[in-house]
Amino acid sequence: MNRHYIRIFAHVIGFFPVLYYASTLLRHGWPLDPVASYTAASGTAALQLLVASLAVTPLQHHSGRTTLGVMRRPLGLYAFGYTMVHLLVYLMLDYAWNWQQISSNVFEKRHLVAGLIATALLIPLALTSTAGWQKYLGRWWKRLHRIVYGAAGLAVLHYIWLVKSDTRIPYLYATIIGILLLMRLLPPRRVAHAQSR
Amino acid sequence: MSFIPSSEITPEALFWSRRQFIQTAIAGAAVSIASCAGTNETTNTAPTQDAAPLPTTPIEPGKIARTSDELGQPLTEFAAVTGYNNYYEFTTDKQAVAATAAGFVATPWSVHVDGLVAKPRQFTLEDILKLGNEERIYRLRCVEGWSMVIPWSGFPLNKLLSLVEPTSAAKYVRFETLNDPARMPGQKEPWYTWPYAEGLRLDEAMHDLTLIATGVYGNPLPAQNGAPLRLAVPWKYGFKSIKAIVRITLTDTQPTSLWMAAAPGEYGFYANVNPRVDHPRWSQADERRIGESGRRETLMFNGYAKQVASLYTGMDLRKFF
Repeated sequence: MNRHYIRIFAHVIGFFPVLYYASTLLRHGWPLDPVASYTAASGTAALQLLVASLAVTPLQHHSGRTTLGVMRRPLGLYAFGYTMVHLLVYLMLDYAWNWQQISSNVFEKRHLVAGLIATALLIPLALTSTAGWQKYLGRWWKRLHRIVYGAAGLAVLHYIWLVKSDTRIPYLYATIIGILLLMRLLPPRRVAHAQSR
Repeated sequence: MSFIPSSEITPEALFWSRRQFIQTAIAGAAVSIASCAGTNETTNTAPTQDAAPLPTTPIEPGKIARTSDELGQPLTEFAAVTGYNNYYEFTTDKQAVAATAAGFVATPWSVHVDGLVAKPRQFTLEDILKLGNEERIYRLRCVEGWSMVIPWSGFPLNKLLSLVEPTSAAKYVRFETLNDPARMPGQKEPWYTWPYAEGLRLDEAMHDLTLIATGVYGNPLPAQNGAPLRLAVPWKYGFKSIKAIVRITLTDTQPTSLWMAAAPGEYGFYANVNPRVDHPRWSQADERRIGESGRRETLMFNGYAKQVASLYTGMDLRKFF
């Protein structure tokens, strides 16, 4: 497949949560608790895009289609973007910048600590996502960007710890991330073998 | 504390009333089709003469005397009170409860009151409606951290309990919701132990603030708010205010609620609103009033400390959460 189309496909995936949210609004009407709705939607989108970006390398390795790699950066940046929206909704809409209320919560509640660390871990990855930084950091770039597994793990933990009772969906995300990590650890299929098909 | 200006709220309310008009029309049609086909089975009681379904979601609030609570806090919008409901018997999606519950037929209905009472009795809905219809504006604080101000109508539970004469051995009151997965599709979800059950200590149940609500916003209770009757215990987290009650049992042992069974370390028997005792995983110090941005400080006993604090004198509220 042409790299150009693959890149466009990555943007389609990146925009999917926005389209999905718009369809929810059409089906259910404007949210009666907008803050809760924006919080859940942006958080889910961030996690889904993070999982999508994590799926790129295993998919590349195990299909032998190296061009799929062009999706990694846009998907990762979309994940970061939705994370920022999620954080902003929390600070601006939920707590209206009331730092007293925010600080008494954020450092005490484990799901908020996990979410905050996950967000913090994504910042250096987003900043060093450019080709220039990739070249500058060399082999350290790859090592640095392995942090994304830590961020994904903490993001899922954040989700598991915040749900009221039903943990099935957060554990589903945890399982998917675990499988993707396992696929990374397994030896990749040889490119030569893939080309022989 | 910043409020959403009313100029911004009005279009939304208008939007919702249009939506609900359409939903009501569709639901109404569905109900009439169902009754024509003779499928409105009522497993709850033998049919009475008055077998007509309750009106589905009213599109307009009825007549209410006041528009704010005793602290001067304005009522939560009608659209939110009747459109944003925590009612897992229908769906866990709060904004989809009203549509899912729209076809729920709540009449005929009866409530068994039994256990440690001198005069066990089965009340029909008609008997219950005769017990009173006073307006009570209560704050509702959900354990999840949001709140509303709601105009209920009904009567104090003690009126009903005094009719059955609890014996001296009675210490607790256990409440149970209708168990009928055909009418309450959320009950097909195996994650929770149905039916929903809740409990109060007898003195809490006899307290004048403890209300059996049969109406909201000047209308009979719509399905999504717990038709045809529910509890409203304003100083406790919302999950204590059990909906669609079919059985009230006086006991000498502390009842186990659905939430206590689901997560014993997180949801206690008392569940009094208390900003100083956090949920193990999240803060209870503040709350988001539906319709507002930013958060209000949560009040001790949800602002009813003057009336109810004496019920808990000498108790460690951290231990009895």
